[in-house]
Amino acid sequence: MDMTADRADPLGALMCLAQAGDSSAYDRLLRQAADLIRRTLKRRYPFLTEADAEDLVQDILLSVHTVRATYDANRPFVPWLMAIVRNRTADMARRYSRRRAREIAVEKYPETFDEAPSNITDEVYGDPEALRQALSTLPKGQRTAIELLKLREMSLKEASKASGMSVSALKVATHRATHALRLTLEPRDGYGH
Amino acid sequence: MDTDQLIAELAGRTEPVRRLRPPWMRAAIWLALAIPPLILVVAVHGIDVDLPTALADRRFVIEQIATLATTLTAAVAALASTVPGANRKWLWLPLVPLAVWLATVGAGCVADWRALGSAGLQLRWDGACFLPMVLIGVVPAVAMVTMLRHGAPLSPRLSLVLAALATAGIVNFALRFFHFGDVSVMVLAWHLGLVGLLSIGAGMLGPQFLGWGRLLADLRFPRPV
Repeated sequence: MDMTADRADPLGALMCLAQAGDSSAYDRLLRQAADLIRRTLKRRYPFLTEADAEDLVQDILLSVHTVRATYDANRPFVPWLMAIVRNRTADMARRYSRRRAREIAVEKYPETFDEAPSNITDEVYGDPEALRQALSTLPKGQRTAIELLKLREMSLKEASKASGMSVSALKVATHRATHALRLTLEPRDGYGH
Repeated sequence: MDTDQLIAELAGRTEPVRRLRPPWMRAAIWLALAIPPLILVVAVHGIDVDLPTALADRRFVIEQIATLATTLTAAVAALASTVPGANRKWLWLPLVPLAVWLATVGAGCVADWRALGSAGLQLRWDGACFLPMVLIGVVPAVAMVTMLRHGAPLSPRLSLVLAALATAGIVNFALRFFHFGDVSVMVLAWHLGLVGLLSIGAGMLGPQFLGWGRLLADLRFPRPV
């Protein structure tokens, strides 16, 4: 006897249709099955991260797809699905244990570099007080250029209008101020702050 | 790929699939495939035992029934082991006829030892047995592995151990028509020893032959885990 859409097991009915090649029924079945799997994983394995649980949901859905021919229309769908969930979860736990057995937990990676660090220009400077003092030693024109262009992030045109300095004078002042600040703030070993 | 996309992909790949028949029905088909080579080998080789004498021997009859029952229950259990949600208690069923089989062979060893002394327990290589054994065993072994690969690889090692037991059972059933009498120790060593070896080998190769990896690789999807 082939049980189909009129049966008391709606997921089983959808699977019967999916086995017959109905892609819309299969889509609905997989979405409902995914929700069911998510809830089951959350209840049984609350320690799983959301990303790990979702990976597992996908792995189980792929497994369901590969063995959908084993579903017997005369049997309830949920026990069939849960047997696959248990099996794939156990596989994942075994993979996880194997991976953990091969790994050694360390607090700090023992990495060494033989190159100087890259010249990163967009980092926030670590000592604002030293920067403020260094700025105060700059000539007025250079200080104005840095304040307007770098601290207040104005465009050259806006800074020119605000300060009355020409665009080229602002460029020169900024270049000289940057050079002066680098000399003042850069540590002697040359490896940045 | 997120789960919604995966579901859309899978639904887009939906093709009609042929539903697997119940395990007992598939076991019957397997037996139907295994019997012709058995009949052929027995027909070519000839029956070495005197059938009326053999059938009058209660121990021989019980042993053959137990062997056949082990074969059938192991075949059903192997196939049921690849059906998600099937009652796992059925997987233990072959142990009952297997215990009877072992008991009759053990009783045979004791009887041979009582009748013939140490000569009754002498183990020797019987080359004439080897070729018929292979010829009888190849078809059921290949058929069973092929059938198992259509199922879900829930416990590949156990499935293959049960498959090895089913195959060895039917081979032993046939070979006992070539060997009758004081051969219990030979059956114990070669036939059941073969079951053990096949089971160990099958258990080791289970995940390679029947694992999920093979099925998921055939899908050509990136594996999420």
